[in-house]
Amino acid sequence: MYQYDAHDQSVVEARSKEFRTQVNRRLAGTLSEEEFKPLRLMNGLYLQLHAYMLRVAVPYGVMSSKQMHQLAFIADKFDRGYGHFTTRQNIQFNWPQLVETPDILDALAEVQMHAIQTSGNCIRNVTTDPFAGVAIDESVDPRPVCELLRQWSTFMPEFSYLPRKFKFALTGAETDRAAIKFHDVGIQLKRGDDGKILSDIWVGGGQGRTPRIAQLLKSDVTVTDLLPYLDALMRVYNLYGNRDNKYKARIKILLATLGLEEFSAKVQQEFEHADRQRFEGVEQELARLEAAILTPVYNASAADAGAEVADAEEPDYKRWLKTNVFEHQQPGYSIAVISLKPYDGIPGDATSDQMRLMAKLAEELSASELRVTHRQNIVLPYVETKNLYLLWQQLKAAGLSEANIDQPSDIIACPGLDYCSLAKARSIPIAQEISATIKQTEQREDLNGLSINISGCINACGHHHVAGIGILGLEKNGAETYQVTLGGRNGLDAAVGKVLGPGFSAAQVPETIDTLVSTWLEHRETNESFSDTYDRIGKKVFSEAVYVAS
Amino acid sequence: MTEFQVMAGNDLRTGRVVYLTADGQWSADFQQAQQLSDDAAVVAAEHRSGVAVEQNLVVDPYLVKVAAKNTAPSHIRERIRRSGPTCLLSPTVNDGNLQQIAG
Repeated sequence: MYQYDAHDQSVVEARSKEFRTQVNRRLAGTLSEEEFKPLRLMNGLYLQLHAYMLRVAVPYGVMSSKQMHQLAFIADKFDRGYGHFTTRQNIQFNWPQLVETPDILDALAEVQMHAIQTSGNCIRNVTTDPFAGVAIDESVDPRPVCELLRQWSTFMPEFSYLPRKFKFALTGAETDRAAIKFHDVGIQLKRGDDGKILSDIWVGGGQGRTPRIAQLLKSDVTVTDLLPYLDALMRVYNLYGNRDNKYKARIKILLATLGLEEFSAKVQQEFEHADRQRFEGVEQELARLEAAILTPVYNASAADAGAEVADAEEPDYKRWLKTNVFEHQQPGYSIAVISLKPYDGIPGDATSDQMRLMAKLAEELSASELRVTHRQNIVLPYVETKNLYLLWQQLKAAGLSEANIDQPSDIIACPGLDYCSLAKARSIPIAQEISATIKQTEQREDLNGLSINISGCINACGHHHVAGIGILGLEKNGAETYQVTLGGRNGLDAAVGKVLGPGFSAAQVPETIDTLVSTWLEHRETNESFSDTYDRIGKKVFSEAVYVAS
Repeated sequence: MTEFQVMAGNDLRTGRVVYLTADGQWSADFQQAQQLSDDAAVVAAEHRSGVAVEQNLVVDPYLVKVAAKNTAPSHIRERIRRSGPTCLLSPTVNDGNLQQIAG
């Protein structure tokens, strides 16, 4: 993975030092809360329902064992012994004290981490395929381009006060595991006939109160043109984006207002007038980053070890192999996904002990590297297949061996009203209840192809729009109520889920989900996903099953 | 029926939820919150919280309705704010987590 050079390290340390002086000035009263708030947000520090919340960046979801160990240390020393992995491949701590936050930033800087660009109207942490560099369907490893974008966007003054936050996602694979069509800008990397990297730029996707699927803005952008083109795109957004109404400030609204043709023309015009000197040497820089993103040395004998191992007849292990282990580019290696979705547990949470174990397992079995997925799980990308049973045994002993990746109980859930000051309803207890309820069906039937996502408000941090079954928490007459959407998709065949009908009380949600799953299984054709079945048979079948039954 | 309110805010240094008490202090214990039942009491509490903001003790103070004197906040958001995340209340589900948390 990318290692900081002296410049990167000095930037992070300087930022931490600067924030310490800002905190001291706030505590001394020379900064008011109004003055301090934008400064703390630029360092990932929110004030939430119960306490401050610190969001730590995990650039494009890649972290080292050493960094995971440090997160565990922070959880114990400065928080309450746990952290929450987010849909932007970051981690949040829910209970830090303001007075200790500078110490946390120092601790992060010690391991090349920070909380920069995890809040505010800037370019946020770039996300990508958690299988980057090891996926079998990949034509371009997106990590060097992600790092290029991170360096281009970090502290760029022009992009520090955008009309609204701005999110990039990249993939270089055939299967979109980064939801690029639901980002402000999604980039599909591919190879041209000459083997060089080309980018298709998708723009204007997003969720929230106005869900939109991104549109293709430009195809086949070369590496030389990539940053100048994105720079032009950002300038057009900065110039024409709405700054009067935050609900109309995202680029998806500007795109809808101008139309793709006019928006594209404006970007092209800006691109043609770009100061190209600013971007000289980009190809060389990308080559430097490719070299810096160290690929572990594969064990040449791994391919001969055989895929199966002793004791593979254990049913729980066999099930885990089927759901949590994915094919690797390198013969003899596997991608193992650690589920942070225990049945009846809190999606995305990990205790400090679990963090330490995952760090240790990465050290011993995965070239000291881990990835955070946007589905709030952890990937060990370089596991020798012969070590899978050993890995599973240790995960099992720590309660981390749930075999449910991409199953319905692999629920994305935002913190909801249990933590978030914006939320209208709780998400986590709903997820706990559903995962506990669906466990038996999931272990008995093949439920592949159904995702369940839950958001606690219309901001859609829980990605409910793009799930087969989406659940949106709302408030009605002072009580929590839940709206259900069906048929969403987050891949290259992106679709926004459609509202099923009137909402449900919290207590009604698990039974409703159970009915929807039963209806799907009743009408499902072989290996059909939930959304495929929904598209084929329509909403009426599902709504009659749910509402007539009740 | 008399409506009661309490004044809530966050402690600047720690971020923890605190409530204005009858003696003008700020306490994390909801039971210690001053019960405000008339305009004069509300105005006085608003003044005290304004001073606390100026003294850099408290952030974002606001009034919270309670169902009746010395009872829980009326709104679920404020009940959760008072008691903490409901998902941490119990290691098991199906035990009332999805019900409105106790008043």
